[in-house]
Amino acid sequence: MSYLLEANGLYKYYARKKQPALNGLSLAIPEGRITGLLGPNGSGKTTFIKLINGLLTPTSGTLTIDGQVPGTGTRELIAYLPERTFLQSSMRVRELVAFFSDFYTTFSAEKAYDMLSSLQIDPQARLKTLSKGAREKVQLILVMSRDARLYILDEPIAGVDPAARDYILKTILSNYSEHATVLLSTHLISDVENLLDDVILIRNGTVLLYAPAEQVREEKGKSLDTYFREVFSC
Amino acid sequence: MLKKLMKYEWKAIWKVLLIINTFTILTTVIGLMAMYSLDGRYRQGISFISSLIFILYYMTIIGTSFAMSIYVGIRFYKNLYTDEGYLMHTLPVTKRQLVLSKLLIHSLCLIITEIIVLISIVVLLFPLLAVLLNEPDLFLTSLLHDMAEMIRSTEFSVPTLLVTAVVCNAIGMISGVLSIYCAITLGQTFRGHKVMGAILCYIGLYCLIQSVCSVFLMPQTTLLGSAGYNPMIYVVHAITTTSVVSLFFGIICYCITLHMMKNRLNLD
Repeated sequence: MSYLLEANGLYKYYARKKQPALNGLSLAIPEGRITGLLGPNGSGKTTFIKLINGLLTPTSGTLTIDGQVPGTGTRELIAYLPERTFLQSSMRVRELVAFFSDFYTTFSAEKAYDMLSSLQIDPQARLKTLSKGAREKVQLILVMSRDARLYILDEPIAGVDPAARDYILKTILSNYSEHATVLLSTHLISDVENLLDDVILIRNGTVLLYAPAEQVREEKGKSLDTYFREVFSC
Repeated sequence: MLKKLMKYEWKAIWKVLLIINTFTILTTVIGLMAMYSLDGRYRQGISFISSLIFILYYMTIIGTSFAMSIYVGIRFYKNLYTDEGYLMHTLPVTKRQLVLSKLLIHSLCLIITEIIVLISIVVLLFPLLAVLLNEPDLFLTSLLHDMAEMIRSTEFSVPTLLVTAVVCNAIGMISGVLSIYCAITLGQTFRGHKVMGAILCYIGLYCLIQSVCSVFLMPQTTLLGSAGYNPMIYVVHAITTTSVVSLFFGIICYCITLHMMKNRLNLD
């Protein structure tokens, strides 16, 4: 099996913390899967995602995407939706579409405008004039309009209403190619449970469990959400 | 990719550039109108009003140049080290292209600001000073005469001096931008209070550059008071020495900024 993403003995220490955010994390994610990166707050999900995107430097360990260390070469392969608003709020939606078209060869402006139209988001509107939910939808549309090998979505449904949540999940499902991998980080498991092919449970910066979602449900005899609550109960 | 990055950098900054320079132009126009609207009957008031205009003008000129430099720093910080950095650092471009695109556009903005300031000085400051001295013709003539004499007494020609001044000024400006970038980047290594860290780093860098310049200028400075020593030669030496030191530190700042971005990037 060919792996799209491989991490070996990955450690990340932050300056003010004694405990590592990632504590020797090792895993290998194959192509063509929707994988849930699940864990409570502070478990290391976002740190791992930031390392994949080259936004953090690992303390030690190795990380490769399609055989390459995170860098200029891997950025065309990854479509990343961070947990925050990463777009310039003063820009108009159509300017953002043009921005993505300019920089990503695999970006489809047509696809983006179709999705904007279906959501009745005015391309002339400035991002700062849109509601929080609409801003998140614009970000998701821009990310999902790319034909990437690896989609990394960090908490894509946190902080939006249930209707928007449904739209976001529908968009994810209908816009990624079969050969692409989706790494979806969330702690709202019940909402994404049915989407996932595989689950990675992460705690204190290490992988607690990495298995197909169906297998976990069968072996444990309960839903992923229930299992998650049991494992991470306080 | 560099051209595209520069295009978006320009789009993000041109309005601020326009506002800042419009302010300089407006101040200059108001100053000129105030000066020329006074006629002989209000001669008593000229000195006071002219002095007031001069002070306000001086503050505006200093303020606009300062504001542009501050904005350049804020833009660099916000675009690369806050939430927007999540997009910029995940674009399929190299770190070198990221820094260069900003450096070229920001330097251009500062150069435009300086050119407008210079034009403003020529059209307002000289006549204003002349009015202040109450002998316009004599003041300008003697000023130009003195300058020409000083230049003639050196081994440099006027074109050489002009080219030297322009090149040295450009080097100083680009190095200044790079030291801002470097300070902001070094500020990111602070555990908390990263903006304060960046300001402290900038003050440290500035003091270091000034100290090195002073050391290299020491031999010329000691000659400054001696008989027969042309102050113009000192000025030329000061400008060229400062530029060489600035160039050296500019290159170091550029390398540090790139190195930190490539190998030590840790976005919050």
